[in-house]
Amino acid sequence: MYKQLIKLFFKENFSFKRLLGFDLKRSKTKAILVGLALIYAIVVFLGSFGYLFFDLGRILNGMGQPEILLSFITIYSIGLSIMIVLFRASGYLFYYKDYDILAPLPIHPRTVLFAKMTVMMVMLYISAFILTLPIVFSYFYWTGFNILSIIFFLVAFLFVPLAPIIVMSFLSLLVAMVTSKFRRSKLISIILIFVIMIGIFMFSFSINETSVNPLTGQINLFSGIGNAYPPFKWFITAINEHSFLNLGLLISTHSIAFVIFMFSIQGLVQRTNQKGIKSNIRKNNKQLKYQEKSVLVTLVQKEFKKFLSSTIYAINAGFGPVILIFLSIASLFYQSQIESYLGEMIGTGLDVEVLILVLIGFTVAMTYTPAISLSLEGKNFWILKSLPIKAETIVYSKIAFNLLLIVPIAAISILLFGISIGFSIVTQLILIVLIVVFAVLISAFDAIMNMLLPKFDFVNEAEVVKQSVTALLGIFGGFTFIALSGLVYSWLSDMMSFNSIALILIGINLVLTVPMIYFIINKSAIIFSKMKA
Amino acid sequence: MLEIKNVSKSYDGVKQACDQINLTIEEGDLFGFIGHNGAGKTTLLKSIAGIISFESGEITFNGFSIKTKPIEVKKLIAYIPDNPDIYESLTGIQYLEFISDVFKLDNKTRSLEIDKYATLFEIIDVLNNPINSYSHGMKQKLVIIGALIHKPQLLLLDEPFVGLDPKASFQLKEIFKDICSRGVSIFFSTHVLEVVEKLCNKVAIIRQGKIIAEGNTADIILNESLETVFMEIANES
Repeated sequence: MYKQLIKLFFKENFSFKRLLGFDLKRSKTKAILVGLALIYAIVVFLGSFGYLFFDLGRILNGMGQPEILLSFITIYSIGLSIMIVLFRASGYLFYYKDYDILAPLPIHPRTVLFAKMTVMMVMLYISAFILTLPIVFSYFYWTGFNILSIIFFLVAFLFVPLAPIIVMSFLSLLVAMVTSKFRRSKLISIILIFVIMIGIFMFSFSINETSVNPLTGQINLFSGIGNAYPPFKWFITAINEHSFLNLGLLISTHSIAFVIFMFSIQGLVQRTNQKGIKSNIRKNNKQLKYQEKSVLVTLVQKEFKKFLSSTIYAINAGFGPVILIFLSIASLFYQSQIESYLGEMIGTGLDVEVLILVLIGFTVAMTYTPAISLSLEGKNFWILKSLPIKAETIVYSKIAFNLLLIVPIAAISILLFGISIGFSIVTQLILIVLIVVFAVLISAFDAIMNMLLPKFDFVNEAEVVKQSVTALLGIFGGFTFIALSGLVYSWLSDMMSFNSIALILIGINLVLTVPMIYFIINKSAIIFSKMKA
Repeated sequence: MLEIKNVSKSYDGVKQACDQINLTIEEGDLFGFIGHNGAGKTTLLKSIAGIISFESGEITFNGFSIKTKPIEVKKLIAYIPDNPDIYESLTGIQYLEFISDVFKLDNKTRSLEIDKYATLFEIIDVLNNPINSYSHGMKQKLVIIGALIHKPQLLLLDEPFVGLDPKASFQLKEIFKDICSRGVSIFFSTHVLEVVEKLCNKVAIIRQGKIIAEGNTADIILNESLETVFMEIANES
């Protein structure tokens, strides 16, 4: 039965149609667009991340310490496991949509849990492999493509994510169990997950000694982790020294812990799934309140409700504003640390105004709700299509919601950074205007992407929020616009002041926004009429 | 008056989901639409409501074309799908407020209409609860209320009685009769032939995207039951 379930779940989760949201054979233009987007993403990934690690491998090899690359592989695959399981356990391991279909079937709940876990792990392994591939290549390139090393690596790579999978699955399950007792369970769940994420962020920040560049900064982090977490050392020693003992320790401890975990949580998972079915309707005699609103306001309100009701949506698309407010408040107390941390992450030698601008730009690009919110209408899209609402009004509401989510926080952050770092009032005002214009540009771009490549046919919202082409285009598109501004800055920085360059950037962003708004006004209705609902 | 002229729609470019359909629904008509599963009922209803596009033909309501003047048509109609998929993140009252805002109902009108229909369908006490806690039938009632509060001139319903309890079914039929007597047109699909036989003044039968019979219910069934007529016509064609 396990095999049949796996086969079914794989078809359900990993088909091209499911991943892309459309049939490749029947949508040639979309296929070309997606193909170009993927090529762009691969080139950007290999060109930046790949080159960075290839070069680091050369330096480390020269120093006789190429095994440090293995530390990067371990930490990245563990980090990715934490993120994926934290976001996906709810929906994959419990609270899954097909519970109503699977529960009445004569299949042991344990078999379903094992199959669901397998699917999540396959997704995790594929993601971790793609992410770490440049580092793996760099390691084997500089140390030699030895068959035994490759076998040791592959085996260890399979086992090292098991510990974070166990911990994060349990944490997610715990959050689901605790929050299910509350009326606003989704909101509490979102807050708890943000708390966990900021906790992880603060932990890495606190043990990361600031130094010359981001990668060496991370090397310091590894020594701390290696001392506190033995599997980290086992992984590296097993591959680097072909140590059967360390590989054996890694395999035995992780597999035993995993099997015990799987058998011990099946009851909890079953109970959580059963609690997820809400059947008791309480009568609520609270007086009904009526308030007239404009169509745009009512649509934006609907967006807010949707955002706060979906953990995966709020956590992913809301990460930018949360991290921005966190850093800007932290800058009031840890000004020099934040400044040097930004210098490490973005580039040393840049003016602090530029660092802050890039940070805020990234958080704006990461607030990509218009790239996915139309798709998230999903089965409810018939409502908007059957009502007398202009298509462009719907698009504006998606853009307006995104602006409300990020712009006020970005403006407050600029003021807070202004206080901590000491910008002039004029610079602060110019930065605020620039960020507002940039946010409009990014939001309009995201909304157009989602109009052109909607994905209404999804089982789990994570397919849209994390895996859809428009989510990828939304975030990477935003990064491209930041890079464009960076080019303009580097070209003009010797000739004029920061404020003058910022004013020019406002103009450029405005010029880029105009054709997008024109497209929304003139093409939305035509595109909407062709969308299937 | 709803006029459907030579409407054709294909999803894959090969098979016609709707094939040269012609229908006219007059003011006050209670028009039943029957056919096998996959015959094209939902496709036609969605095409009229402006939810999906169609390749050829024309659909007009009160002179407005759904292709060229979709907003004008949508202001006059209401559509209820076969499955009440509605915003689960909202409460019942928030959904109805949303619909009221879209149709620009003032506070007095919306409170009167919502109160009237929510009381009739016995969901007034749960309107403050989130929709994700509703049963299928309650969601169906909510969608029906949402369709009625703005007093549409044409109601398009896709299997509206599915999931309703007997009392709610009865109430809905009474509402149908009442609003049709005031000039509202209703076009609904159903598999419950008895309802069409007893309720509708007109009926159309669709098979493989083509209308195979259409007219006054009395003229179609003559002295037989609609079930017998339906089986005969469907088998013949």
